[in-house]
Amino acid sequence: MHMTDALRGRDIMHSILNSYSQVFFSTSKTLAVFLMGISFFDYGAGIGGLVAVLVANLLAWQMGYNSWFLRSGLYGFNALLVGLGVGLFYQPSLQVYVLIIVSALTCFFLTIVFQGVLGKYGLPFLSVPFLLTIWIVALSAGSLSALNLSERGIFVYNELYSIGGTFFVDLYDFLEKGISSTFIRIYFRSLAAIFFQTHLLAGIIIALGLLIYSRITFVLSMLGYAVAYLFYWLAGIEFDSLGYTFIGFNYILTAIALGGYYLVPGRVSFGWIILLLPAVVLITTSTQQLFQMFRISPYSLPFNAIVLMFLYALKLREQRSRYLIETPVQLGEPEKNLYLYSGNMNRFPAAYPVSAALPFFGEWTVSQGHNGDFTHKGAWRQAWDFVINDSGGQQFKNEGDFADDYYCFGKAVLAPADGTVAEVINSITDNAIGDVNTKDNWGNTVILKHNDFLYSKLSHLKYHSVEVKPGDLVKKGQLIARCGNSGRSPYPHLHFQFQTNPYVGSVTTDYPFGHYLLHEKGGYSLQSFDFPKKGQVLVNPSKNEVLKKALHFIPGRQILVSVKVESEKDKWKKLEGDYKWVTETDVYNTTFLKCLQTGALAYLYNQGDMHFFTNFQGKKPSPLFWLYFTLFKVPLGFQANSRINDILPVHLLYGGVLKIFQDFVAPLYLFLKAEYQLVMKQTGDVLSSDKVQFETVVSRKAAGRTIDVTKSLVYIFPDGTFEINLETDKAKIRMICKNESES
Amino acid sequence: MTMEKSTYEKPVINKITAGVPSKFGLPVKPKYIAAIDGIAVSALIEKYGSPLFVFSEKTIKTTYADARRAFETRYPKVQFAWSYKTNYLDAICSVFHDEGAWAEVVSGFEFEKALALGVNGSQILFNGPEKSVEDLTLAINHNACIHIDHFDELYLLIELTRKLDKTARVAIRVNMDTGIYPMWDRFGFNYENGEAWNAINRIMLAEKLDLTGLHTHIGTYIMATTAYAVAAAKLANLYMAIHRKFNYWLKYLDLGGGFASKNTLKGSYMPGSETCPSFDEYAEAISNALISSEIPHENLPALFLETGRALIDDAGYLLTTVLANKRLSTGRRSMVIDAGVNLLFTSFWYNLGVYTSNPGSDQVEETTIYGPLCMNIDVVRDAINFPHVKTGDQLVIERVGAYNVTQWMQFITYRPNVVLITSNGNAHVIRRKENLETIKKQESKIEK
Repeated sequence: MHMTDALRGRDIMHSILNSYSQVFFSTSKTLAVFLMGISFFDYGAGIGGLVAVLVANLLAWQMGYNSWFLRSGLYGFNALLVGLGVGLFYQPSLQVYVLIIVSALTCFFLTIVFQGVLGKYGLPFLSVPFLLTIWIVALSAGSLSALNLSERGIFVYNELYSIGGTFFVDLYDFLEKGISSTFIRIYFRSLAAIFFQTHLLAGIIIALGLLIYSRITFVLSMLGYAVAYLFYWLAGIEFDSLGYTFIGFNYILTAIALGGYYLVPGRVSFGWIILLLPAVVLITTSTQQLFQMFRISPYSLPFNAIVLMFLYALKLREQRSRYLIETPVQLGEPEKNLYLYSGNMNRFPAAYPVSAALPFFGEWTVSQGHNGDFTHKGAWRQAWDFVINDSGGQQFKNEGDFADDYYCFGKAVLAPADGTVAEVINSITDNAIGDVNTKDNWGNTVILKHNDFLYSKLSHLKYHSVEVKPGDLVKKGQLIARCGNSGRSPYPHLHFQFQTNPYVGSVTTDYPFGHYLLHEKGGYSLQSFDFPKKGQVLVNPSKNEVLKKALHFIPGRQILVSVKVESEKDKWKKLEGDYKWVTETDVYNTTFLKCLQTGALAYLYNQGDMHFFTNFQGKKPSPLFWLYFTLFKVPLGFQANSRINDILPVHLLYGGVLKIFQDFVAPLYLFLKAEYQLVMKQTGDVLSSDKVQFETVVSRKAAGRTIDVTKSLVYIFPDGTFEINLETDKAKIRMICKNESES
Repeated sequence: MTMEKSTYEKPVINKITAGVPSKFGLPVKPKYIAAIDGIAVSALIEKYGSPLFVFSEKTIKTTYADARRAFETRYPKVQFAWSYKTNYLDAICSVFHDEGAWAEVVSGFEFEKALALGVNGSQILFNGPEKSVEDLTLAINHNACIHIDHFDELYLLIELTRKLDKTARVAIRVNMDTGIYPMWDRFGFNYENGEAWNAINRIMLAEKLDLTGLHTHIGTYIMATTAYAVAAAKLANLYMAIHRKFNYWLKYLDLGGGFASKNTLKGSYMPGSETCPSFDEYAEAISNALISSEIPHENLPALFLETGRALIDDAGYLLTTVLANKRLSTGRRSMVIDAGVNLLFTSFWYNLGVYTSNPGSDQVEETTIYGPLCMNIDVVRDAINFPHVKTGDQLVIERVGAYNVTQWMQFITYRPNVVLITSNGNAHVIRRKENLETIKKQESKIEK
């Protein structure tokens, strides 16, 4: 009982605090405390805001809305803004609080409605609910005769004295006199305006809170503001107006939202902020004119309009986006988003929903890649041709005068991924070697539909070899036809392309293969969501049951961990002991391991052919963190001497001043790096009856120079037990992770 | 410039075969083999003596790569197991193991040899009708795949696993009618009369036996690929029947070996190099049969292959020296060389290719080649069109890599050096020439 009560208390506290920090898209508690503090600079507004948050969150809780949204403050922050606004506008009185409750209620339901409507398009509702509510209140202001307009803000010193005594008054004076630059003053005031505050001090505290919460957010707030300021000056707009209308916060919020939150921060997102901000200025100045007619302010309309339009426009892109990538899984902090995705975007399923396998058995060679020399040009440039070469690099035996001489001719062609057969052509005869059929350009062809926007096309198939018909459901790896020499094909090869619609002759789309092994000297390297290039020799990884079993973290699986440490240092030595990890799944279907001793969480994802750890939260160093970075990316297939490279997120492997400095410049340049390499040593066998052995190396590098290296030797046994032997310069650690038996 | 004196050649009387040139055109100069992987035959004999077995690592590797490519580009999971009885010289086995092959053994001796070479016990397939209690114990303790040959072996295994309290990984050998004559029904359990199904049921119900696969080996030097397709289809039927009855997927189907090499069988009209199927043809037949069977593609088992002959025959050469030229009473020409059937067991089956090591005369005469043994059976070739050679000339016999260095006899004389030319072109002795000590070491006199 006690336990659940405590938990509920914590949930309530989170939902309230997050409602404050959520105004800046954050769930930082520090920021929340700062913001809550400044909201009470005007106690009427402060109480108003808090009452509104409580009303909205209580409604969400009582009516059974999503508890995760509730806890993250997403139901509360719009109401908070309404409460602050109304509370500031009127003298505190019973009627005012009734009005605040009524408007918080209105705002809450608008939140639900806009979450539903915009959510369908994958868009956030931002502060649209606040906007509508505050307009409703503002437009009715003239009729609400029982309420008295606030007189605060006129007697600034009195108010400051009532909050913080002479100290605050002196501080205020010092700031007012000390900061003389209009540029900086308006920046702080604009920040303060987000919380309906007029004081410079409020702005400074918010800026400090932002800086502690996220360096990138802070930099963005400056950037957005500076660009707008510059445009005011360039276009000759009177910027004194910025000083008293407080409308400048639109520029700050737009920059934070697009520059680093809804999009992964980077040079390009920063560049777009520079391009977009003048548009926000124009919307601001024009809507101000329009709204003046009703004697109300456009408030955050420009910010909402631009952010929603831009995000929606980005979603309609047809080609794979290389830049301006929408944050696939929101980690709530621009730095984390950036570090997690900077290493390898392709790690994340959201980037590529379909993981396509190579459409053949064994090792084939790419004879023409994207933008090929022969036919992969123009709108059809994103295609591949595959052939089989012998050890001497020849595609054929004998003289190569007949199709049968070619190693690839007649070989099985497989479905690259699950799908539906959209189109089949099966009756074009194979060409004599050297001849081409330009009339039936693509020859015998199968087109498979994998999802609404992704089709694959396999062409030049052998005459009458197609074994599927339109409408058939095919599974990944299923035989669909044989490699042939029909259509515009002078010698046998397999043409493969992805496209966005089901027609023969469609243009190609830029989509990669999922996971494949690239033959290299002395072994293989595993490529993930990459584009095979001309001359490369490729093979599908085959599955290993031992890996598949061990890396299958089913919710409920419990792992007992015993840790032995050999080290001089107490820091490491004290981690020795027994731990228990449990596998759980959250509402988003994300699986994670939770350490019952430390409370740390390691998020993971298993694509069926690859295991990834996607994120880690909690104490470092700790056994679960070691597991996180040793098993950062492990294929479920095997091949002796195969190699995997990846990049670990900076924020999990670095701390201190170095990391803070990196945060500032991260969108422009990453000088800190944590490289991950896995080498399969003993790979088990084709029957998966033996243990698998691999080695991982994590190297931390600053500006290209190696700082330190952590090596681990990992054994995975057929019963699902892991043995991890970790070695750093400071410690030797041995972890045995055993499944707890179901007794 | 001085004119070199041309070598003397004995006069030959040849029947004139008048008429138009055949479709093969005019006669060509007889083939000769002057060097193996870049090392001159004369240099090899000078250094290692005559006769001399020479193996080419390069040929082994390319042949293995060809075989792998043929199967792996047609079937998702393929594993070769090196057939020890074909050639169990350590150095040769190691080449295959380094390339990823498992071991296929048919006796306790071969099992021990594989273990001694560092092969993991779980990667040994244990075939054959002769498995003693000791052999089976060894195999169970090393978690090998035991391919059961008969019911008595099955009963013994049930008893042994109980006694040892250990689970054995087993498969059964299945014999079947694949249209090949003779049908090898002396090994394994018969498919058609239900014996195999019976054995499977007994194993599935046995506590300590883990049925992991099915094995067949339809014969040797099989030149009809369709036979393999029939065998694969029949194993696929059993595989699915097991799944239906026991809801259990076996892990592998082992199609055995028996692929023909390029040697020419005695009595065949055309040379083996023209008529024997390639790896591609065998692979096409087997893979198609499995893929087009009713096995769902996600559950296709691993395909094991135990081909020996086709992988090693081409890589082995026997270098030999002419001891004498003779005319038989009929006037037929014959000659004696220093390598006989004691070293060339395969000469009983094949018309081995014997070549000179020098571009000699292009006048050939039908000749009988005898070995050095004082035994009438010692005939290397009954009849071969051969150019005239002199005593001391060095000859090369090709395609002798399979079965000879395992079935050779220590008979009348010592067995010679065996050399492997590695991929980088260096020759190494991989089995030393025998001497009196080798023989005497094993013997003991009765002291009086």
